[in-house]
Amino acid sequence: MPDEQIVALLRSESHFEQGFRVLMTQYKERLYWHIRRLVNHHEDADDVLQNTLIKIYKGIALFEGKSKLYTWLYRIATNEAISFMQSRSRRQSSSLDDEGSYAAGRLQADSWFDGDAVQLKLQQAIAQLPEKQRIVFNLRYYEEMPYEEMAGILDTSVGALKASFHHAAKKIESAFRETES
Amino acid sequence: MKNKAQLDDELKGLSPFLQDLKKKPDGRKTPAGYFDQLDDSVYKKIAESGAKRPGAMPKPIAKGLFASFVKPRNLMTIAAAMVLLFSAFWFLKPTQVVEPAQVVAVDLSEKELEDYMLEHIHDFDSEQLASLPDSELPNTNPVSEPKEHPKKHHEQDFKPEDISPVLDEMSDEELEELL
Repeated sequence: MPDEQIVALLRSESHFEQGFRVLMTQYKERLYWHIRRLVNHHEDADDVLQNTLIKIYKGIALFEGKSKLYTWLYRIATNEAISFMQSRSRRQSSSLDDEGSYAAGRLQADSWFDGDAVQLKLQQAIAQLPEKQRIVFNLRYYEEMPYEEMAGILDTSVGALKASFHHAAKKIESAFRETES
Repeated sequence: MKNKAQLDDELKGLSPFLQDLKKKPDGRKTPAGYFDQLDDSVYKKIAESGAKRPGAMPKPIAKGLFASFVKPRNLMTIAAAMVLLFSAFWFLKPTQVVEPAQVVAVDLSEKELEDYMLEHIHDFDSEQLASLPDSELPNTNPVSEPKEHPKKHHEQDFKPEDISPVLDEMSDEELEELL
């Protein structure tokens, strides 16, 4: 169902619940994978996704329709994932960028990950990226999101996003070369 | 498809290694039936959190350019700005200070002015009258005459030989009174 129809249902008092169920059906998997790639562990991703959906349910009246529904949902999910990682870093008394090392370790321990050594190395290299580059790389590489849409979610210029993606790709490639050498 | 093709082109130039790696599954999985059960889990958590069912999303009052104007916050801002502008216009507009002299000059003719001064001659200070130029002094003579200095007038009309008979006819008391 197109976003416009979902928004029309959400704007109707009698169809609000139906609209929210359609929204969940349409977006829960995409939001889950976006969150999962940021926090790495399934249980963590599940917690963050449920909190995201509850926030969307409670705050749907705040959606003004200035941006696309999809952009608004991704923004909430991204912020929720970042907040989760920040609180996890605080609990471990480490910086958010050190969170990458921890996330890579969590990935190995995740029973819902069965990638090979190359995939594990790739995920570890992604986890070591600075927070912003990690988000941009995941959105572009895995979700194939156009830079223009990404700019709406992250409030960043298209040029800066392209630069972030290029830096991230180069860092990941050099991480592989270091391992080989 | 367009996005995928664009990304492929980008990765081809940037990192062929990552382009190849993208074709393989990333190894992440979810428990069986996870997404089917997610809706119920979310609604259960919503109920547990005690959150009330939110009202439906507000319908936009207007569309397009006007949409941003008709929001209550913007309407309040516009109203406040208008009140401020009106107040500023009202209090800062230049007030014309009309001086008494201007009133006289504008509203009264020379004749009216002269009549007024004659009627209220006692209200004027002698200093005020003295400060006026001769041309502006009211003519106390009901018949208009050419304005000349009184002294000159007498010098022209009377000669010493004319005055002598008059003085002779006057009594000492009258002369004393005159002086």
